[in-house]
Amino acid sequence: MNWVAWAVFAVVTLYTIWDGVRRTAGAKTMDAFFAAGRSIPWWAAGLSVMATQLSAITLIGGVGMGYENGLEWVQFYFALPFAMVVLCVWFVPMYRKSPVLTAYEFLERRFSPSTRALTSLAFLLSRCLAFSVVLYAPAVVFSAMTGLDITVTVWVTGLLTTAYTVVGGVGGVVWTDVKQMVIIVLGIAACLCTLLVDVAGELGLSGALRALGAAGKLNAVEAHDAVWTYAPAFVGESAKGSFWADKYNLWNGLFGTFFLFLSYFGCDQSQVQSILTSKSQDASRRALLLSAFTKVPLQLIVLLLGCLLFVHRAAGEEPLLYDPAHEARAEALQGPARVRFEAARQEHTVASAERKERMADVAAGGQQGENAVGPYRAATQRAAAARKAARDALFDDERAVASLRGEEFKTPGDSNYVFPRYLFAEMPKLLLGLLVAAIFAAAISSAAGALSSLTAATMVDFYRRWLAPTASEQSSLRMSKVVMACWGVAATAAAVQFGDGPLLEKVNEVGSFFYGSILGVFVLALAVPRAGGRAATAGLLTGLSAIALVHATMQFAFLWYNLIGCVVCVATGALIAIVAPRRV
Amino acid sequence: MTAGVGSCHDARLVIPPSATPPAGDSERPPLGSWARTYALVCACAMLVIALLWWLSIAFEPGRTA
Repeated sequence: MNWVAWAVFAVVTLYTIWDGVRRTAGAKTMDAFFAAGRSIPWWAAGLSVMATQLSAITLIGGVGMGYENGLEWVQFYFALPFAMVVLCVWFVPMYRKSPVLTAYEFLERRFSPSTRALTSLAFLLSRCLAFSVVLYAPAVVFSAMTGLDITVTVWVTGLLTTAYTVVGGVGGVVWTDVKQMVIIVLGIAACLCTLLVDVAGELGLSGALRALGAAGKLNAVEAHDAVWTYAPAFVGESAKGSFWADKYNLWNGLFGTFFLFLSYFGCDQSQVQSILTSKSQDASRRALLLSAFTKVPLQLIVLLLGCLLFVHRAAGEEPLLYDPAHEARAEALQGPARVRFEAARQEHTVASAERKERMADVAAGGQQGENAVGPYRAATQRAAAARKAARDALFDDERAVASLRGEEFKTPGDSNYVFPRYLFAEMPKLLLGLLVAAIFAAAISSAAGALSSLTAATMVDFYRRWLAPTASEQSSLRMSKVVMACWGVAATAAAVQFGDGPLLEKVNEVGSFFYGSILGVFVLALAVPRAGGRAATAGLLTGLSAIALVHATMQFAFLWYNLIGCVVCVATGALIAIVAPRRV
Repeated sequence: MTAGVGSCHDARLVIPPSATPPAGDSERPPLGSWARTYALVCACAMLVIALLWWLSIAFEPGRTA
């Protein structure tokens, strides 16, 4: 990055944070600090919901996923609009009827203190882990940008986020999110325009669509696969072809994520706080529906960036390795690993040249294009396999150690470096500054939302409920800031421990262990009037145990965990409610 | 303002609110009613899924979704 990019990045980032925080700094009450005094207009709350969810992981990892696997990940979001409607009809009135500061406070009113404490604890566990992952993703970019160690960049991101969240509270986070969302959309639009111009010059837009389709990248809906088998696979068996182990398809995209989104937006404090900060019940509904309308198109565009990047690379020069750390390893390789690496490099060069030639034919269309589809697909697969073989050769030592321990070693991917590498190598410096600011904004907006919600749950559900119920507003507020700072530092330290990997999936996998069962408790509250505290607590524990059991013994795609957890929790709670209904 | 106080064994405890009650609604729902708004959201979502299904099939030779 030159000084122009640095200047754009610094001005945009600092102005965004300063302007967001100055509106709400100096909150005097817990309500003002954790719910912005219920004064946020619907459009700001809606943009905040979107910014919190559209993290740097979604940007960096989403483009990487589009590059490697095409549009298939968009199926993950298909259920979101339907979930938002359910939330508007049942959950929003539930929260707005009683003036609560956390989602779990409602559970004490409906069930018992122990139900509130348990669900809040489950939230703290899942969100703390997710917060750590959210901090790690942008560190990838800033490490590439500055040459600093990833550890240093994680600490800088974590501490900056903690500082402005402590000063501004939830109101500061929401108003900062609004500006950050604008920057993110501008950044994505700028990148899309640049790539479209590049690809249009190389193949033409219809040619690019044909090339992407032939490479299997336009796989936005997968409703059927001839190889699917419908019997669940147990651990130790091959899960190849299992419908239940398939990560992304139309069915788990509609049914698994429906429960995930209900839980995430309806029971996760990091999202519920946006519902609570809105001016009114209708404002909360409008905020959620803004996400319902915009999330799928926005995610589609992020994946499309990855697809266009694939065409751009295939039409030009595709790097063998994207991760700078892998390149450094490659330079130090010796012996048989070096031989295998060089063979992979040669294979990649040959396959890439073949792919480039055939892609031009496919893009041109006509009979010649039809005839070129088969060889083009084969060359695409060969090039991808050669990239994988090159990465495999880099990790011979680690594989040998894992083998001695009887463990399976998974070669680290490099899809998270695809987007940063393009930005730094090919973007005009002015746009680069804006895009890096957009990625940074996405990172800190998600992290700030997580941090404020972690603090709200700790303070409202534990500190003021159990430890210091008679504490004054001022001392509670002071303690909130101390707790927030502690959470920020602890989660940043945990982020340092996470290595590279498919970041996107990590967050959602972690959440899916808890989300279904927590949702089940809220469903019991709404739909089973006879259910009391015992039924809810037993349902939650059984749901969590069921997920642990399924995870340990069977091979299910993580999206199904949400459905399983919710169903087990509700079924157990309803059964107990029938046997021992609550006393009213 | 004081947070909820009480025994963890009493499930029917009445807890004082930890925040002031929210303001009432005064705005008109989009499209005149919330039911119509929800119907529009669901219809748009189904339309987008159908369009993406078409895209999946239209540009991939030899594929049926």
